[in-house]
Amino acid sequence: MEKLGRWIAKYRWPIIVLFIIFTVFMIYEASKVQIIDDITKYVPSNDPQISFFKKVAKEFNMNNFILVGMEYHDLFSESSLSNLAKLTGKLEDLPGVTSVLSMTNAPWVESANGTVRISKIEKILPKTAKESAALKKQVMASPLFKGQFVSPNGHSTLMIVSLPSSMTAVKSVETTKRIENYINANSTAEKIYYTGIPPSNVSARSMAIKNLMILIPLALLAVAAVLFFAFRNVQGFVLPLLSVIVSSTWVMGLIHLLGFTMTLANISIPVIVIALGNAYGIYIVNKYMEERDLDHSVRLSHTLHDIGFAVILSATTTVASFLSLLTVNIRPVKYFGIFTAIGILFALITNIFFTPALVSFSNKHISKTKDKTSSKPGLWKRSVEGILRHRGLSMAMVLVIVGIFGIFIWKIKSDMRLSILLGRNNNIVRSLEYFDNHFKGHDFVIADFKGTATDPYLLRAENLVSLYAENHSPSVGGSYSLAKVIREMNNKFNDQNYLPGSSAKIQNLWFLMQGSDLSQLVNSAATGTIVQIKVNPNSLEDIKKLRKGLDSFVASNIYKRYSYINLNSANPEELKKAVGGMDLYVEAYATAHGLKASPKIIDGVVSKVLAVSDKQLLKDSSTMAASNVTDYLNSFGMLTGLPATTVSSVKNAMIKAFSAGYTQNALENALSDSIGPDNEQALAPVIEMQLTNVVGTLRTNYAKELLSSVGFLNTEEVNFLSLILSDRTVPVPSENGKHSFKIEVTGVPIVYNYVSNMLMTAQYESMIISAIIVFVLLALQMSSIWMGVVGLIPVILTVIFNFGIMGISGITLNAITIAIASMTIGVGVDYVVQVFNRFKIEFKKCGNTHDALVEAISTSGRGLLFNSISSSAGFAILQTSDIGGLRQFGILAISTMVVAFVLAIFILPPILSYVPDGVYRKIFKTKE
Amino acid sequence: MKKILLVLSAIFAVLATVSFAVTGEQVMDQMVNTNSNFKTQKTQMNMTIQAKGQQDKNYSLVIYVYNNKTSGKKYALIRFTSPQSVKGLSFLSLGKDNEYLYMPAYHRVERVAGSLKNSKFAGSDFTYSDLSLLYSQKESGKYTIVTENSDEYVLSILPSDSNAEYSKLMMNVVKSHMLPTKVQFYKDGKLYKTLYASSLKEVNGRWIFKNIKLEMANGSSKTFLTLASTKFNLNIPVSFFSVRTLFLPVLKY
Repeated sequence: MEKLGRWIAKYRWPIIVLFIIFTVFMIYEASKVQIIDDITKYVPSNDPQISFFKKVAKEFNMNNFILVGMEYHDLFSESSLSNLAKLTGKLEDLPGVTSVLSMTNAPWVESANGTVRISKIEKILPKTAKESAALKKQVMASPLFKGQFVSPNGHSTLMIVSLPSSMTAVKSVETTKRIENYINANSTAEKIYYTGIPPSNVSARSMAIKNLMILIPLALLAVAAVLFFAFRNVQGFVLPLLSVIVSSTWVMGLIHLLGFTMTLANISIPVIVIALGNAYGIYIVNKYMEERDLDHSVRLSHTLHDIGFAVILSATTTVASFLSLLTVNIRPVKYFGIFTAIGILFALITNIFFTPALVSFSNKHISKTKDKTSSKPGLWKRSVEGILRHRGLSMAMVLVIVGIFGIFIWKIKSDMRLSILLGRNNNIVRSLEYFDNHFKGHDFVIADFKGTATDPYLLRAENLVSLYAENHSPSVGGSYSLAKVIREMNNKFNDQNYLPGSSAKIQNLWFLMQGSDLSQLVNSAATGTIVQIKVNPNSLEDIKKLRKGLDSFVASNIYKRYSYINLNSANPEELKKAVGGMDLYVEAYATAHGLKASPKIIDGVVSKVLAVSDKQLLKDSSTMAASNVTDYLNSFGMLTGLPATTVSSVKNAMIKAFSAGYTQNALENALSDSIGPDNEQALAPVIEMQLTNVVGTLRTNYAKELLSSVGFLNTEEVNFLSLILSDRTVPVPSENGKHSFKIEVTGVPIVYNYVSNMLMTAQYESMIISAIIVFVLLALQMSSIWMGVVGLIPVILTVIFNFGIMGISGITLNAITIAIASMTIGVGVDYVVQVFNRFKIEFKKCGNTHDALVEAISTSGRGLLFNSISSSAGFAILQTSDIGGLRQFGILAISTMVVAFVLAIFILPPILSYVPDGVYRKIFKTKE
Repeated sequence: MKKILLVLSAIFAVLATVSFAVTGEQVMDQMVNTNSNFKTQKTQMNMTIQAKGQQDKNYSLVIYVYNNKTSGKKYALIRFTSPQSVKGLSFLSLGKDNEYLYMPAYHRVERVAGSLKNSKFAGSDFTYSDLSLLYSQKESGKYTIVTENSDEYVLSILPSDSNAEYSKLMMNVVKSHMLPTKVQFYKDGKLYKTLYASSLKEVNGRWIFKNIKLEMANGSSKTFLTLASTKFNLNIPVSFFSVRTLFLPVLKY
């Protein structure tokens, strides 16, 4: 160390120039640091949960999208819709945009006056107020539009702008800015909000830059003020400050040089480096000032000889504590640990080389007699003697207080959500609140279905999953799925608001959707489809329950493997199986709705509806059936031109055939007899085809009648189940069935939960590792395992106290606050090191534990106090941040600084005092 | 619905008529007239849709057209014949706002609105309006000959309908057969998609293109139409073009 001091003195100019050049270069690099906060990148992509989410999100264009919420004065006016349509079209043409989905270009199916229209709203913009009102009425009645594209109050609309999944985060930010600028300049909406990962990153970047620009200077000022007050000389605070400016600049520059980006959590790195790193400069500068020699080379060598090792040890424990975060398998936390440790290391390097080189130009000396440390020794001495006199009471008080705080540890919760990290007062969270208030959610839980997307039972299972989610979680604001789209198509085209059991029917409806953009619901090969469950993830506990509930519901109610039974050709055994299968479906439907249904009642209805034959239904309602068919034929002009008597004969022939127990031959004969063979040949094929529909209607009516009497279903549920029961194709569970699909639940809220859970475990792991490292270093320093254990006690108590504060105040464990435990150990042990060092020196001098302790605290107490105050001042500046997580971190960091200091004074000396002198003599290798 | 059929007919079955047109409007008239020179037509074709990152979709369909030059009535019926999942799905056009869709699985016919005009045909890159703009003089617009050489005209078509899908079309018409070989569709002044016709073939004295390709300018998808067979002036009665026919599982002609 002495040699190093002389070397620095010799080459002080080159050292200074080199540091300045390198710092200027690093300032340039630091200015280019990117802020990217994407929860899906927090965990390595080979993590099964993350890789599954990414795969699903990529497959359905849900990993890189911007949700745009726009509030119009009159959304359904021609001008507003025209503006929205134009925005949609223009955005699609912007470079980097994959697709844009809004209410104006989404598939729009409407049915009016017997005509079905498949179109888009952009093609049928209303021209008058009356048309606007009519369109609004239809849109607000559409389950596909209301709540999805249009807010329930009808004022706001939602647009989804997808970016390529392969686009880098940095490029996504640039593209998002372009999109936001375009919308802001061209939308006539009164209010515009953006959410999604790309817009969050845009806002996060501006927030981070704003915070860095404010926090760093303020932290420097705060530390400077405390140092100036404490030491009252310019070098005493300028040089330590300069050292932390250099080291924080270096670490920011290094982050960019190595190709890393920062998260919002990581912007506390420079503040921590400033708050913690300045201490090393203080030690060096003040020790240099204390040196009496006139030669700067000698002064430097003495300075480094006396305190160089202590400074290195102090920095090493802090570096080690931050490096313990490497055990956390969450990237931002890991990078936070690495780069904060590097920042502290840079502070050490700067204070070992640069600060001595600078201070060597000073000829000032500080008189030791003026040293405030020794100006009022009586106060410290009296205090320590008092503590040692009442050592039992002192320890008991500390333990009781820490114990009380410790009770609240169980209340700590981990929560990685951006809204929690940021607090409420910022654009990102305001946007989230807008989407939550207007669209009942801003994020999606995804139920991924792998199987034939157009399989009827798969679609019905989608419907069940949607129903379960919507009826069992307060966080769910609705859902969107292929099943809903197909059901709506069936409703509009066939006036049947349910999902048909026939694959052919689904295929017919599916074909009509060709050309519509359904890429966010079904993959291109139709081998996978998803249910987008819109959630307001204000409570991760609710999301956890939702996921657990969905998993459990799927496991208990959805067939893993199944086959279909065609009831038109089923034998008694198959009919029995079909009834069993339908029973299970109805029970699942009731469960999904949260209804309590009696299996016996359900079975009674199901078996009756499924068992009744077509013939019986036609026989029981022959007149109605004949009227239905006649009306249908008339609606397409197929009876036009025929005499009224002939039409009547057609109807009568049908009544006759149906009443006698319908057979095809009997009907044809009856028709031929009444209207002649030519008319019979023209009409019979059409009538026979229509009978399928007519019988379906009769069976539905029969089911309605039975279901209405069970008591636990409302009209909508009765209507839906009646249609299901009237289907002649029934899916049944079957171990050897040729149909199967797999359901898995994922989504960003699920990932947040997963990462949050990882955080809790990671917290304990990193803390234990940190404690082990610190213990080893302490034990090595003091050459005693016992001293290592004793040294850990105040540190561990500080950690418990801090956790208690978190539990009481509701501060959650997140990407920022997870660092606090490790930091507490690393920083808290600094006080222990100082006390131990001084105690060892004093014990060697006096050979008496009590006197050595009194002297150790009396001489080092004030230094520790100012170290605590200056670091706290640096962290206090975090309270000015508009990032909630940083404010919370600031509170905990200040608590660490204060409590670690208090415990070093109040509990360490009493514990050390209980040990007989002989033990210390042995440890310190001194003679009596 | 009929418009697509007329256009497809025009593409596949325009008589080779060599004449000289003075204005763009006259070139169009001549194309439409030659296209309408038949009473009935039956065409079988295959359609392949290739979209980026998606599996190809293949369809086979048969198209029947009835063209009464005297009354000006034009009816059309399209039926998909494969794949099995869409077999039997049929569209019937009996004039504007008189169009029907038959879904075989439901045994039901639904009247569909004329606003299908700008919708994609069977998920392809074709819309109904694409083809009506090309061949129907009834669609008002400004037709201008941009360039002309010994082999072809290049027409600029500016639709005057405010609801028109495109801002402009550029059409290359080969003089020898009065058939379009290339059509460029523009939206808001930017190229949106391009149609190419190739493999000229003579059928019953009429020249037709066997292959049509429609390519999106952004490279997102392509649609290929390949003519399998075509027959003109079959003895198909007008009563064939009725809702009742839609219910028939097998068509007589």
